Amino acid sequence: MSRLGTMAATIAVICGATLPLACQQTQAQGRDAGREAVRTGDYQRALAILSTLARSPTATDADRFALVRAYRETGRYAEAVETASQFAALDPIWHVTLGELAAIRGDLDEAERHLRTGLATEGSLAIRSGAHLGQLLLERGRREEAKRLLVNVIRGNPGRDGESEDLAAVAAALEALGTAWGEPDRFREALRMYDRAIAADSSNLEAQVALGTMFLAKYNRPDARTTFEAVLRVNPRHPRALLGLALVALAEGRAEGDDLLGQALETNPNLVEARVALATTHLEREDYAAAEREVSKALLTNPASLPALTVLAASHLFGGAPAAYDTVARRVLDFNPVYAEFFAQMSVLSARNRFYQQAVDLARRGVALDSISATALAALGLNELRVGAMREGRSHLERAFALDPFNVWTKNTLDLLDTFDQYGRLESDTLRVIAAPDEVDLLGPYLMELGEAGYRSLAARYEYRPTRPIQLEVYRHHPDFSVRTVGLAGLGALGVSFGNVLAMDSPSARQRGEFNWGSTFWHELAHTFTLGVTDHRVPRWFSEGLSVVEERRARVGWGAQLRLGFLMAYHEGKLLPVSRLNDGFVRPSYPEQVGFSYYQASLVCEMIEMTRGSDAINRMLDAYRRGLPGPEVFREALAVEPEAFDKEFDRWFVERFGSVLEAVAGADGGAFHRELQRGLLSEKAGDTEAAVVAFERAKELFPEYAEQDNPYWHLARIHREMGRLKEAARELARLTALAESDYAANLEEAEVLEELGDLAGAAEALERAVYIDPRDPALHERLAVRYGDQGRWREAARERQAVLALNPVDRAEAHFQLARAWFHAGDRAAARRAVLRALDIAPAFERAQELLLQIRGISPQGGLD
Amino acid sequence: MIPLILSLLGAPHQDAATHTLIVTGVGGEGKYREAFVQQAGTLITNLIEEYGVNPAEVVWLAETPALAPDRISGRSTRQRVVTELQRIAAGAGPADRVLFVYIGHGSDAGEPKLNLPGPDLGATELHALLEAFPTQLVALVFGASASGGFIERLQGPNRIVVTATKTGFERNETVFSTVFARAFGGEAADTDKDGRLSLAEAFEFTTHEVARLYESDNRLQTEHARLSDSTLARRFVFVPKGARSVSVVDDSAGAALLAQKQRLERDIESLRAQRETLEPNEYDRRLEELLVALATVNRKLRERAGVPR
Repeated sequence: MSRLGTMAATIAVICGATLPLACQQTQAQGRDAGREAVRTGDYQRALAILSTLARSPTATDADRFALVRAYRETGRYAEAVETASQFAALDPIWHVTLGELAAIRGDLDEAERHLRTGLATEGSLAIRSGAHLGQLLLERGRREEAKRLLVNVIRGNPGRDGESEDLAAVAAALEALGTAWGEPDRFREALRMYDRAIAADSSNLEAQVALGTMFLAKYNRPDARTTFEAVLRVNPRHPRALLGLALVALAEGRAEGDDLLGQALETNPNLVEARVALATTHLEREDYAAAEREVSKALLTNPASLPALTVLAASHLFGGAPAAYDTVARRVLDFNPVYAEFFAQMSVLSARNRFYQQAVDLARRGVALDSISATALAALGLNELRVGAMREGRSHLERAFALDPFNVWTKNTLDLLDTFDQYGRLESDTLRVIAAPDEVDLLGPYLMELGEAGYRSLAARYEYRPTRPIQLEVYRHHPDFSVRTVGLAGLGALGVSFGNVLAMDSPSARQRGEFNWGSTFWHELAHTFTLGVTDHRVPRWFSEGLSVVEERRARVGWGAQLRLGFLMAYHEGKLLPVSRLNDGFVRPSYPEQVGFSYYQASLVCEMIEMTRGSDAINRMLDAYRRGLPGPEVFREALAVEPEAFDKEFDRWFVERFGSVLEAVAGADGGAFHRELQRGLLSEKAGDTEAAVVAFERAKELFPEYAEQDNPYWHLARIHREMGRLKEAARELARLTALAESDYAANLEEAEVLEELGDLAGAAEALERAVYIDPRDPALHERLAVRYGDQGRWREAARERQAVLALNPVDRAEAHFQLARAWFHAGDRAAARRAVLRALDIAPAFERAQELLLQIRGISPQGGLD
Repeated sequence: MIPLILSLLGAPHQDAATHTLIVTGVGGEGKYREAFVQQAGTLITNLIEEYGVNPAEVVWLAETPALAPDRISGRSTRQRVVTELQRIAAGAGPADRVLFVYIGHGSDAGEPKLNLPGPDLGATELHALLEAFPTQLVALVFGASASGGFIERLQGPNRIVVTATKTGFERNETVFSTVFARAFGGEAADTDKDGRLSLAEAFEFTTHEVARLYESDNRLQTEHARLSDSTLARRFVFVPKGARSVSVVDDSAGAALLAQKQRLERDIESLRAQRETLEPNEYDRRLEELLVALATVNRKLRERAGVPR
């Protein structure tokens, strides 16, 4: 007990019931201190003071409310109820508090009884009871009854002179009506009313928390954050303000969300909404058992909490317990037969776990229960778009937007859909490419080739054939891609796979060298197979790891490679064990962790193949498909305990990269760094032979290093300058085999190989460069010439098509060159079409005229060839 | 294949001279000084070697003549530029053409100016100097930043004005001149493939490539070139050095072929005008028919002129 608390108890004993004036003054001071302690979040001190003084005959209503609030905010609900019950005889206003407390504990009948008692009166009590009861009835699905009550609350608006709590109650009623009946104007009214409530009493933190929560519900995170922070400046331990701020942080993907949740639960371990939020983070990490454990704690406090039951149902559904899911779902619908939010949330969680078709089905059930549920309609629309049902998705999003125009996900997506009319398409049996028309022309032929090859290769490996055509959307502007995938701008990813619908950045969306669009497509295509073959049950880490491995199989140089930062993270103990690798993707604890996790996951997949054969991968996928939890998958498919596998991987990693780890160890960057620096300094000083020795040594120490200032690049440059072209070509070949996005290295390699007369090799290097940045017509012209030199006229034609797609100023020449390539490739029809386009632009174009005569078989003598 | 230029296509008058004055302004920094010299050098080389411009009719004034002493005629001071323009005006025939190209920095604080060593040369003074070319076709190309205002100040009859920027407010460094010089360096800018390069084609090539350069660098385009008169610019043509000309048809068979060629070209033009009203396949069928006929006639004409296939 605090010093002041001890003093307060002592005061009560000494003064007894007689209460001389001095004692009354002392008690009043103590009660003031107690109320202040509640206001500022020193709950322990508040309880020490008020548990005695608030019960004294001289105590005021404010003292008594403060005591009950202290119990409530610290999760001591039973004591709060007991105390409030004692005070109920003094004033019927306590029925509101008792109703609220009963609702918090899930005793809905008791809550209704208290609130109806309050409702039977007039004035403040009726307003507050009506607002709470209206919300309670909504939660139970008694919508019409709720609506009558809530409308009455609004009619009873006390106006500008009303008490802050009454105004806040009216605001809550407006908000509830706006949410349940999709009436956007109600939120604007609610905002005004909350503002009035706060203006009437700036110490009414409950009104501020309610306002912050409404901001959050309406996707206005900046104002929500400001509002919660204002509360926390007064009361740094306010559990629901901490919860609100945590939800803002989690929604923004910031790491402090978990910490804030922890702080909220430290103050109030029985805060159901915080437990639900924590359980949801476990769901997102695909740790269903932890989610179930966490939400069970919430249900101990409130067994009727619909959000808690929803998360419990989700943990069962995604954790492979469909029967348990059905049981919980029935329980939810017993509480509220029209609770569309259950299916809406299940849909959102399904999508987060990549079960997109399931997300559609669940959202549709939500809409069936409540056709004006904006959340269910939005979930339905967004997920229909993800599975390629564009028309239906748009229609549902439009309905959702009419009901809830504040939803930025819906708005952004509809804005994006408005631009779809301007997109072009290219379709084969296997792949449908949707992109800006000029990008369809430029990228389409390459994507079609990759799509066909990828489908064949991946179908054989995973013994699974996804429904065709697979839809690939390519976005020129990264924010559009981001909106398409998560509804908001700001996603860091390059591509995403929803299963049979893929979306990715086009090369124009990024700076040259930022990514390889060919490998990105292949990566996402691989997801289509691993998601499909497991009915979308494959965990993120495994699917990502396999996709990276497939990139490496597809082309030399593709796929993430070992980076210095990854080795540093290993030295610093920042890499996750395999059993927790999923966290590195879904909730990274430092910025580079996602990238490192991709690489690490690919290593795990490679290790499994190397140590247990490629069948082991398919056995794991099959086990995931059957819904086995992760640890069980390792036991069944790999015959190893997860913890043992963690250790095995660590040993394997050290064995494989031990010497490299050693070479980069140490505060100065290790021997590798020293050699690299020595090489750079020697080169700068003009001592090329010393530089070569140092770079060679650096290469030997860390052969995978292909980042900026890598030894291969410098060696190649030195060798080329010295006329040692073969050596230069060798270094460049090593470099381009390690760095999938090094445009300059590929062009350099092509030049050197051309000088060496290796035209086929040069063409390969140029083609690799195309997959890094296809926007330079000169690159395609050069590649077309190389293919022409080798008689590979179909490839030459593809390059000539790329030149045309880049809208060259000399379109007649570009059409002519395309015609020429088709002519040599033996496709006279295509050649004719192209040469006509050339001559349509420039009828006087002599070379094109001659080609036309050749295509038509007209000999110089006027006859047919 | 060597381009075949037929007299009927309207090649520039054989007797008309093209007086070319290239001015590179003050660089300010070494890198600009060198860049301006390189751009001007490329342009002059291309004009002479690709398009047969008479070196004696080309004058190049630069900030630092020592950078290319064998090619630069003098320092690009305001006075020297004035003197050269006056000299050209005094010597130019009434049907001659004048090409004035400025490569360098520009400024526009109420009046567009060329930034020259010493005093700048403003649009007002330049306008007065150009009064000395009453009949000659004059092309003025300003490859400078903030040059857009020259169009309004200098446009007039028989005058083509090209600026690297849209207005005087586009003040960033431009890439216009680099690309413009390249336009004369091959066949790429000859988009109608008639074997000649018009100033309009060079301008289209430049604007197109400038936009592409900015786009490929993911940079916001900060220069938007303008052309005052595209019709006149199509008449300001450069004929490749190696082009052969069939200027005289002295027998009836040759005349018939040329007449047939002319008719076919008119028919093609007429068909192209109807394009929107025809089904694409029908359009192509008719176009192909005419083109095959045209190609056959051209082949015969080339054979008569002794031009190899």
